[in-house]
Amino acid sequence: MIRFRNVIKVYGTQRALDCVNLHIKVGEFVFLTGTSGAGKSTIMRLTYREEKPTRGQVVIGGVDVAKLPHNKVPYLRRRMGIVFQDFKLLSKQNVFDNVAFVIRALGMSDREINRRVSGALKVVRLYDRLDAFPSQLSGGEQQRVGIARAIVNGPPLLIADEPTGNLDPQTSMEIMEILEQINNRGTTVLLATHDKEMVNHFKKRVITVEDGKVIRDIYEGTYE
Amino acid sequence: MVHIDADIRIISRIISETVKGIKRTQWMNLVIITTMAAILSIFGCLFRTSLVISSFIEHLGDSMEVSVYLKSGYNAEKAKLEILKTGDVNEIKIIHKEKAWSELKQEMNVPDIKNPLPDTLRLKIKEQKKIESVIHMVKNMKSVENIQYAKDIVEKIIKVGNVTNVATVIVLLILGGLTLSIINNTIHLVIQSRSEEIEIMRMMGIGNWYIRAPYILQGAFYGFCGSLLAIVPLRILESYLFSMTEFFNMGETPNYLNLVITSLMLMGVIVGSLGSYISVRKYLRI
Repeated sequence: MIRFRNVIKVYGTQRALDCVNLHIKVGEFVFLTGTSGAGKSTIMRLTYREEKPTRGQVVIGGVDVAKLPHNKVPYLRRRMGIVFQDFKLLSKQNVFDNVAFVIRALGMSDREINRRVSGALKVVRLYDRLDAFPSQLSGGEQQRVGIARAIVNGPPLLIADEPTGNLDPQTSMEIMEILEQINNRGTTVLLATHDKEMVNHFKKRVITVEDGKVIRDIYEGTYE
Repeated sequence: MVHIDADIRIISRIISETVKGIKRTQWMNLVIITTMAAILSIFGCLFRTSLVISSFIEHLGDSMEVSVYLKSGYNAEKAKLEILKTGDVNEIKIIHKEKAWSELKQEMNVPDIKNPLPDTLRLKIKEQKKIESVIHMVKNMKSVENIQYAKDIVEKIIKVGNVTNVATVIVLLILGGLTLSIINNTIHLVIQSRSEEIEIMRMMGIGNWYIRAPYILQGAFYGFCGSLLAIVPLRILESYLFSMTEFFNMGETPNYLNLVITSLMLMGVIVGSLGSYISVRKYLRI
C-alpha cells in the first residue's frame, strides 16, 4: 500500500528525512512514532503528496507520487482519508454537511450521499448529531466527524496525523477504538502519534523515526 | 449516462456553491456591483457617444460630393466606368457640358460664346475614409483635367473619426484594467476569508475546478449585475442623443443601443470572470 524507497527530503539546508525505507502492506495498522521534528509529519505529507521527495521514491497503491501530474493529485487523495490533529471542520456547516461535502463534489446523487454519510456517522457513533454545528460538539465528537469525513468515500488507506493530540486520554481511547474498527474492516491505517500509553495499549506495528531516519520497526510493538 | 448525470450534478453544485459564496460576501456585493456599474456606465456612455459621432461622420461623408472635370475630347461614360471599377464609389452622375451650358445660360445672362464648360462627373464616395485614395486615383487618369472637393472638411472629418476611435480604445483599456483590478482584489479577499475551507477541500481530494469555479462565477456575476445597472444611465444618454440626431437631421440611425448593451454585458462578464480567474491562479494554491 505504502512504499518509501531511499527517500531523502531536504528543506533548504535542513535534511528532514535521510534515506527512509518503509513498506506498509494492505490492511496493516501502523503507528508512526518519534519526537517532535523527528520527521513523522514529513512522511505523512509525502504520503498524501503535499510534498515531493528530494530524492528516492514514494509509491502509494502502485503510483509513484512524485511523478503524478499536479492535476491528478486530487484523484490520489480521494483514495485515502486524512484525519488531522485540529479536526479541520467547516465551522459554518453542520455535521452532515461537513461529512457530505467531499462526496458532493464527486457528483454523487443525494440518495447515495445520504446513504454514505449515514453509514460513516454510524461507524463513528454520531448519527444522532447530524444537525449539530462543530461549535456545539466536544473535541472528541469533532474528531469523530473528521474520521467520518475521511472514510465516507470508502478509501483503502486512512492517514491520521496526531488525531488524539488535542484530546484527553479517555476520549483518545474512544477515537483509537473507532480507528481500530475501521482497520478491522480492511482499511490500511497509518497513524502518527507520540502518545506513549496509546501505542503501548494497542500493540500494533510501530515505526519510530528519529532525526529523519527510521530507527525501529517492530510488529506488535510498544513506544520504546 | 451515469457520467452525464454526475457532471450535471457537479455543475449544479458548483452553481449552488457560487450562490453560497455570494451570500456570504454580504454588503461587499453591493459595493462591488455599484463600482462595476459606475465603471461600465462610463464605458457604455463613451462607446455610445463614439458610435453617434462615427455615424454623424459617415452621414457627412455620404452627402459629400467630388466634382471631376474631364479634358475635352474624352468620353465621360468611359471615365465613369473606369472610376466605378475601384469599387469605392457609390454613384457617379454625368453632367454633359452641353446640358450644363444650357442650364447656365438659363440661369444667368451669359454672352453668346463657345461653350467653355467641360464634361463633369459628380462622385459619391462609399466611405469618407476612401475619399483620399479615390481622389488620388482619379487625379492620375488621363481624361481628368481637375478635381474639386471640400478638402479641409474631409481632413477634419477623418481626424475627428480617428481621435474618437483612439479615445474609445484607450478608455476601454483603462476601464478594463480598473475593473480587472477591482474584481481581482475582491476575489482575493474572498479567497483569504475562506482559506481554511479551501485547504480542507484540497486535502480531501476535491477537484481543482470544483474549488476554483465558484470564485470565477462570482466574478462573472459581479460583472453581469454591474452591466445591468449600467444600462440605466445609458438609457438617459440615449434620449439626449436621439434629440441631437433629430436636430441634425441625420435620418434613421441604426439601433446602437442593443449593440452597446450587448457589449457592456459581454465586457462585464468577461472582465469579471477574467479578474477572478487571475486572482484564483495567483492566490488559490491547489
